[in-house]
Amino acid sequence: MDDNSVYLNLFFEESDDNLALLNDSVLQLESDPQNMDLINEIFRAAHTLKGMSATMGYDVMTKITHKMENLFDFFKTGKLQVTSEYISIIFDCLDTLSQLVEDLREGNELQESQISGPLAKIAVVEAQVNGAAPVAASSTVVETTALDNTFPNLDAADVDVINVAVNDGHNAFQIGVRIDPESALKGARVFLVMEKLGQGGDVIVVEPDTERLEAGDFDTDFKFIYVTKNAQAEVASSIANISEIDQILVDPFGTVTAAELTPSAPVATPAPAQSTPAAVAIPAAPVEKAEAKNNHPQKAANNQSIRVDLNRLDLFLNIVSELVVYRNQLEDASKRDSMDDVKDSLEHVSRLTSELQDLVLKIRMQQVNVVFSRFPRMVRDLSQQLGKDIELIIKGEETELDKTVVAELSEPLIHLFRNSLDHGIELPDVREAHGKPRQGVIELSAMQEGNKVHITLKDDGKGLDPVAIRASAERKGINTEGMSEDEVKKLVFHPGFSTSQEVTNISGRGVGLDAVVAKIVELGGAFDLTSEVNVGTTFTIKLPLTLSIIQALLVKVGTETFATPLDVVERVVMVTEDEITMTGNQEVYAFQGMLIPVLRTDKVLDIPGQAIQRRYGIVVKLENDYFMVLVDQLLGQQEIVIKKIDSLLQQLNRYQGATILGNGSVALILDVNAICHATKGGTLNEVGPLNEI
Amino acid sequence: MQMILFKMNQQHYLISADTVEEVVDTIAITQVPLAPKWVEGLINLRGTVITVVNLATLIGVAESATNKNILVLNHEGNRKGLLIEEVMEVLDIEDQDVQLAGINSDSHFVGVVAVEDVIADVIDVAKLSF
Repeated sequence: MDDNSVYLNLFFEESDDNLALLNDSVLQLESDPQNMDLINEIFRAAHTLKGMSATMGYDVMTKITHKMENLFDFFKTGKLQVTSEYISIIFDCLDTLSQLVEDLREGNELQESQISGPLAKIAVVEAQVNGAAPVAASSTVVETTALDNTFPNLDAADVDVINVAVNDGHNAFQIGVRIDPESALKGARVFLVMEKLGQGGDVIVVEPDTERLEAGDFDTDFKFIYVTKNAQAEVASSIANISEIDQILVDPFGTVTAAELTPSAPVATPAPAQSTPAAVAIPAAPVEKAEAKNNHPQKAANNQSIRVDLNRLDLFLNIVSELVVYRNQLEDASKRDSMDDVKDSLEHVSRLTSELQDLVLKIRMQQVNVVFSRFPRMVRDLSQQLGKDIELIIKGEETELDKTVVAELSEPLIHLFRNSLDHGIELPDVREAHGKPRQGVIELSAMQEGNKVHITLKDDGKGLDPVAIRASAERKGINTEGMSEDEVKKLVFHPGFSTSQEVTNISGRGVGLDAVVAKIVELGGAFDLTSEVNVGTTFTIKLPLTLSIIQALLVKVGTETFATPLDVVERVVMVTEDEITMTGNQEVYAFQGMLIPVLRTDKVLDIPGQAIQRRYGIVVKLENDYFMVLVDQLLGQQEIVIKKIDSLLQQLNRYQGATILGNGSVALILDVNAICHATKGGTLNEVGPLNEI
Repeated sequence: MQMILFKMNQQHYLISADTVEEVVDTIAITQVPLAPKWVEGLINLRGTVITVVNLATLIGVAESATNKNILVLNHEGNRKGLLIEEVMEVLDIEDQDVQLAGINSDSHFVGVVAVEDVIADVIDVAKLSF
């Protein structure tokens, strides 16, 4: 068997794509059963999947795809009505297929037993269909004639050659081969058969002739006479090892004539051909286990590839070639010591660098669709399980985010979804009693706002009930006295908090929502929640477009330079000491009619401060709260690249990272969020103080 | 085994050359407020930001007046800079040359070696707790 390993990654990628497409389309089909275009699309995807797995020699996968295709065929021909029962069976198949692909990715071997569950279900359906309409043979059952391996009109010269070879101690076989009618590359299969046999002997007569065979210009069968020293069984199995071979008939030359062949029965799946006792017939391509293992020597790297629009890549190449031109000019100008030319070229280089930077960021962008596409299926399954009727609306799925963010997004969203499905939307009867439509609505939307992306999950369920939360909090020993209603609602993010009376297997173990917040914060995002009893709950996640390059304000505190992310900055004001008032244990500043807390960076970071009268106050807005961060000097605004810092320094919870300034020195990036919250006490991000409230 | 001989405040030390990626001259170090005392700060090593640890403070010996070199260590994929006074030379040290090995099992020092006219402490990178 040929070495497929180079195609493995492609196979995985395409399988993933096709499975995702199938999942989507089947889901659509459930709500739109009459849509013929959709069925055709499903058919195509399933067929591609089958073809791919067959090419790779993954028979188990081919088998289940084939069976699944039968179901689609029943839909297409109207033998079956699309019902959720059948859709569920198909999803069962798709899940099994995903599992199979996953197993292959990890280098495991596929077992027949893995697909027995869904296969059994399909068999029941098939039996029903065929039982109901016994006359109409399923279209997948192809009426076939017997595979023929006889040569009634052989040249005398050829017979001579064969006889000489036989007398010489060789075996001569007449061989008939039937290629899988689904095979896309019949010619290539013939070539493989011939090449394989060519290694151990000689092929003498071929029908149809070689040219037509290699061009694929024949039906499914071809026959030839083969002279070899190998035994019959060996020859048969070496052909059988080639994939997409339906049937093989190997007989010693001259033992079988056309008259002796009995017509074989219609075969739906590869079945041993009927033949004389002397013949060895082998069902199609049972891939040797050892070979299957060789197919995936390396554990496929976990989907660390990204698809890039070819136009973007071309543009990339153009810019780089332009860059090379200016670099050469630069070298030349520097040799000539011509300052003007250096400046000129440098200008171009700097323009190209920023173009490159933009482009690379764009290449890293991925549509949130990658994550969103899994939810329709999840909502369907869970709502069935919970006996709820839920419609899912998805908006803005083409919104783009940095790939790393997209990859991390699915986990928190799943948590939120489960929460909405389980606790948010009520049972149809309950909804009716509250005067709401029986069908609940969950809306998932994404949109870009400035350099942030907002992802909103909104349900029209029962909402968070502050009374119930308060009661539950009290039971768990959390003192809620003096907490506003909003603060009480945010208690649901407290670890170990669950308002659900009973624990279900979907959510409600009290883990989840706190994990969501932790994840979002880790991604540099913010999280918001609004909820009203009986109206619904809205979760909003705000994420930065990209993680690696940000706009920042460079400031000086003491002798050190720091960077502050610009996105949280509302405005910068000049502040003198007497404008800051001390109230209780907190300094405040009057900003737009509000008193906002003042944080002295030098104190927070324990840096020797400078005794200056005028400082700069950076007003930042975090979620709905304002803070003022005091710094000594303002150096300006700049685009900076975020560099990771040691985990040891990350644990200080004061710095987002570091960046390298134009002069090559390192500046720390202040984590304004953490700094402000550290002094605020009792927040979402910091769980500890909650118990003390 | 190749080892790097360096000195700090008139004392000599040896460290395995395997873990040392390179030796650079001390460059501008950005301080990190609130970090542990032995964290000297951050440097820009050809575009990568690396934490520099003051070895003298970390192992609790007297600090030298000047620190000329930084040893860039790569310990299990984790890059760190080690601020020292000055690198002297690279030596071939056999295991049997290390004396007093294992006397103090939880210290940074794993023994002493007498090289030429000096005595040097051998420092085990794996035992530097950072």
